[in-house]
Amino acid sequence: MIQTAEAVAVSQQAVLAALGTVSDPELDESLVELGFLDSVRIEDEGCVEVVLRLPTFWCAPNFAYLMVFDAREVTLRVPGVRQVRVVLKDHMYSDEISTGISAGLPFDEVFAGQAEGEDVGELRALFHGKAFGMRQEQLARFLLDAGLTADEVVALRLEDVLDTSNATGLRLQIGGQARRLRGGAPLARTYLERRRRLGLDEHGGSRLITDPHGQTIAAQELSEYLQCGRRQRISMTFNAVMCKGLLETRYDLHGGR
Amino acid sequence: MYRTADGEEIFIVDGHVHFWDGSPANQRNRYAEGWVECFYNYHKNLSPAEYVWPLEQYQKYSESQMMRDLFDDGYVDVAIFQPTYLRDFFTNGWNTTEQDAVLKAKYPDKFILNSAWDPRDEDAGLAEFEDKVKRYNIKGVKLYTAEWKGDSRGYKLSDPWARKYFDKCVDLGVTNIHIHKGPTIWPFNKDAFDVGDVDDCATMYRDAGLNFIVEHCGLPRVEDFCWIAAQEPNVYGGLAVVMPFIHASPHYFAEVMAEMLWWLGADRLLFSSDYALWSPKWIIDKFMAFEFPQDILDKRAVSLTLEDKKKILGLNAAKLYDLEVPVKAGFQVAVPA
Repeated sequence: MIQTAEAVAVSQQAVLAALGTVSDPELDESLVELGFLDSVRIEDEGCVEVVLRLPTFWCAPNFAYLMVFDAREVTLRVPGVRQVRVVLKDHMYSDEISTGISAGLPFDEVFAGQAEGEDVGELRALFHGKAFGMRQEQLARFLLDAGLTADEVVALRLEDVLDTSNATGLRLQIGGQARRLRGGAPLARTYLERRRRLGLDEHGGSRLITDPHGQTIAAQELSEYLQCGRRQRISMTFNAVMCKGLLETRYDLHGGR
Repeated sequence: MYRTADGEEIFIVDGHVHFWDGSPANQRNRYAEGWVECFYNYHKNLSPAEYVWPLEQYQKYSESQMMRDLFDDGYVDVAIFQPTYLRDFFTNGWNTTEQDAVLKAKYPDKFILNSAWDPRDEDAGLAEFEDKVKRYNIKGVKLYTAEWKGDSRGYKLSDPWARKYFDKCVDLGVTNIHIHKGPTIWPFNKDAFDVGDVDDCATMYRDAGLNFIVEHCGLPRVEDFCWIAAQEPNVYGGLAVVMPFIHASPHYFAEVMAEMLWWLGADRLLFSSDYALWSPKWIIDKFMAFEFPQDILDKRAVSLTLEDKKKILGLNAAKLYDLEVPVKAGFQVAVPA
């Protein structure tokens, strides 16, 4: 068979991997892991159909819009993909969202006249901040539990994070000495990714644990500061449990919780 | 009345119950169908298997079923009706003051009848509200800020017309304002399930004596709710939807409960089953047996004593609604030595 240079066959795996990077902004978990991906169908000529499903008919339309939008964006970047249709099924706004996003419309046009003054960009930024707080609390708590003092935690710089691969565990430079902490690598990787998303200073000399605006935190204030992240984590994980349970019930899945 | 193994009596107020009609005959549109489906999934997802009803029964249940589940089997002494109108979805409304009033008239000591208002009804609604308060001797209202009305997808408690209604509540002695902040309808605008508007009115009406009971503790924004409630002494947490997690995900329940106790304390939390979403019996049985796991106590210095449980299960609501509590079930009075 003769193929033109640009007609690359689309790989199902590549599409799934791309969709795996899309998160539910409210829960900060991948929509694939949450079970929100219903199906992926690759058609001829680089056309892909992605079907998403949510835990309830009423799930917030602004978050639904963001997920469907992101799913389309990442799928469009997969090699060989020329056209993407994302279908949101069984939702009060299935038609508006599916049709609007496949046509590339912004939120306020999809919901013209209904979403007064809603700025989904602002909403996204708000939840990036919450996700950052939650992931930071998990990492800081892990470091404190591993025996670091509050002084050591707030003094850490990006360059002190030597390695975050699973193979070696989390390697940190603490007070001039390298230390390996078992089990912390995934927490550190996730936190660093959420930190990057906020656009904080990436220089090696920047502090690792700061507030969402990059301000340093005094050691004696760390414990109180982390309360805020703790509340965000509990809220987000609680919501995730609720959403997963409702999805299982709605679609009669037997994943076990 | 719940009785412990030691014979102690615990007075139970169920802070949030419904007598709804979700039958197909009452459904106006696909939103009504989506509403019932969603409610039913909440019920199925979080109830123990032996308490799950068939859909048909769940859509519309009988008076005798309700009386049995609450008062015969469910330990409840007094239940508070929290109406939710939803006339855009249901022809006769989902669960209105008028529907609930039928049972209130029949069992006056068993129920507290709350009403509702909507600032979008403006002047006509104010007059109607006043009329209901006088007719039914209303002491509390349930506000559903995410309710759809025509083209509107919700309102805020800080809207100018809401102020007029709060002023009216003050005038009429309607002191308990239950605010729905949580599932099922997820409003359009993110600000509509932001609990920030509760903060404003709680401050504004504190001296006038209004109490704000945030139903579902502001789920899914528990973090913001805790923060606001910690600063406003007249803000309470209604535990509907939170409590049934005690069965399905006990560890998460413990974690959220620890936060609530940390930020609000046991004096400002109210038990509710949200019947018929869930049935009070199993929630109360599990709550009475509940103890915090050690890993949570290690991170949060909280406790939940029998006295705390009594407050949450009934005494706090009794205070808000001026209910008479049988002496044996009341607060323990310290006997001078």
